[in-house]
Order: sequence, then C-alpha cells, then structure tokens
Amino acid sequence: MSVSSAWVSNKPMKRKKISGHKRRIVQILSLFLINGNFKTFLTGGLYKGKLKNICIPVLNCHSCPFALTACPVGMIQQFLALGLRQGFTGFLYIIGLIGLPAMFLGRFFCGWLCPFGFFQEMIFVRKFKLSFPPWLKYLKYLFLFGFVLVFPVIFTNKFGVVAPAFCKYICPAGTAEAGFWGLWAGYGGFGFVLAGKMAILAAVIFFSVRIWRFFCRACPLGLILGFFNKISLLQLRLNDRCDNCGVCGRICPMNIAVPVELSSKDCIRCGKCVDACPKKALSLSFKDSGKR
Amino acid sequence: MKNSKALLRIVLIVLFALFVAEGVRQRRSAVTGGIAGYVCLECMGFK
Repeated sequence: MSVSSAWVSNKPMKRKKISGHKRRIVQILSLFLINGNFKTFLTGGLYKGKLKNICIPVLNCHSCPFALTACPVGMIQQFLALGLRQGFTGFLYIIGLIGLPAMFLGRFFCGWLCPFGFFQEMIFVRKFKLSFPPWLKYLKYLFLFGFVLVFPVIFTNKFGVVAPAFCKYICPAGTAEAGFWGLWAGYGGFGFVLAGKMAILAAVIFFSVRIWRFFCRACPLGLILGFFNKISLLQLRLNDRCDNCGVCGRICPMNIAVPVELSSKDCIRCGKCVDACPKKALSLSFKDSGKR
Repeated sequence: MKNSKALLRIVLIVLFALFVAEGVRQRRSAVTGGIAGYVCLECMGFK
C-alpha cells in the first residue's frame, strides 16, 4: 500500500520497525565482520591481508588483533604525518573511502555499523540516564580539527615522525581494542600516556552507562560523517501527516530537535523517531516523496 | 535549490570515486597495508 493511498483510506499503515532487532542484528554482524580475524587466536598477531587496504567509516582500531580493516581516523593522521609529497594521494584515497559511502548513507554507519557505538549502546542503563551537557558537543570540533588534522602536521616526536595525536592521546576505542592487548602481548609498558588513555576510556565507559552513546557525540569521525547528513542520498524525511505532536523529538536518544532538524550532524540514523511516530510521518529513505 | 543539491551530490560522488580510483591505481596497498598491517604503538599508548 502506498503512503498516499493509506492516507486517503485513513487506515493505519503497517510498517516494519527499523530501530529494534533489525538494527541490533546488523550491529552484531558488523562487529564480527570488521573484527573477524579469529586466526589471531592461533597466530597471536595482527591481520596483514588485503582488507587492511580499505577503511570502513567506523571507529575501529586497526591495531586490534581481530581487526580486518584499517581505521579511517588513524589513516588520515598517518597520511598527514607522511607530509604532502608522500602522503597526499593516500590522504585523498582515505577521504574518498570515507566520502563515497557517506554520500549515500551519511551517519548511518555510526548508528548501524560502528562497533564502538554498539559497545556504548550495550552498556547504557536507562534508569541511570543523565542529560548530555550541551557544551560537550564542541569537543568533537577540537578532536577533529585539533587532534586529527592539525596536531599530526605540527608536532613531531624525537624520531622526526609525526604522532597520530588523536590515536595516541584520546581514542578510547584504540585503548579498549589495542591498548590492553598490547600491554598483555608485551609491546610496551604501562606509562603516563597509556594511563591517561585508560582514564579517558574509564570516563567514557562511566558516562556511556548514563548517557546514550556518550563518545559518539564527541567522535571526530562522526563529525566528518555528520557533514554529509545534509547531502547524503539517505535522508530522514517528513510527510504531510505530521501534526507536531513532538514524540519524535522526545524519543530521540541523541537529543536532536526532530522534526525540525532532519539533517542534523548529530543524527546517527538509528530510526527510533521513525518507529515512534504515531502518524507514520517520518521515514528513513533514499527516495524523496516530494512532500514538505 | 533541489537541482543544485543534486548537482553537488553528483560532483562529490564523482570526486570521491576519483580519489579512490587514483589510490587503487597507485597501489595504495603498499601504503595502507604497510601502515595498518603493523602494530601502531601510538594507538596503544606506548610511544
């Protein structure tokens, strides 16, 4: 039944929910597909095959022994570190690998595929819920423009090699996926940098229990993908049925003013507002119905 | 407005596809595989 005929006949339109089990299944599949190097149980090392030449736009450390793909944030910093002569085409390659899928799906990757986002969702406890301090949303700009894009170009370490500042000092996904393993495998000792990163990870875990997807609100990759939310082919769309009841805005776990901000940078396309809408006025689709 | 958005989409999709194609052509595997295939001590917080 089409949307228009359902409207005319005034019958409730049946639609499968998108934000429940379906999204959870995709998240679990994504977790094991991106981190599917189970051979590491036998070999004990990192995966070094051809899949490491690509990045899927999600926060997943490529120094994790299970990781099959490269981390886009890590690769951006590495290519910037190599400088314009050596790293320019590599930098553009990574930008292409992020931008091309983002042109189609925007921040869908955050909501449906990111393993670290999934982890945060799993540890969130609704009854301890806190509201997200609004000023913290500016952290993502500091992380992206400071730690990811500028610091790796400016600061070099004692060997003349530029450090990937975000990975080194901030990234909680890197600490969780690679830091503990590296410590256990004997790649290094416990120092100030690792202690700082573990403190950041502990804070992220603590706040993720109380704030839904706490780190996603400060994630530099999420910010990059968020810029594409306005122009991506997949859009949150509103039709004429909307009576401004406000249910969608209240249910949005990312605290976005739906339905006013349909293309917000913070929208991870989880689809909770689509499912919650009593009038079925919202949809997550590629096709513009032409209404509103 | 709609046309300009569609045009922007096409331009960006082509541009990003070119970036990827050029990277593949230049055998980025030598670079990405070289970096991402090895342990990043910075990522672990050791350096």
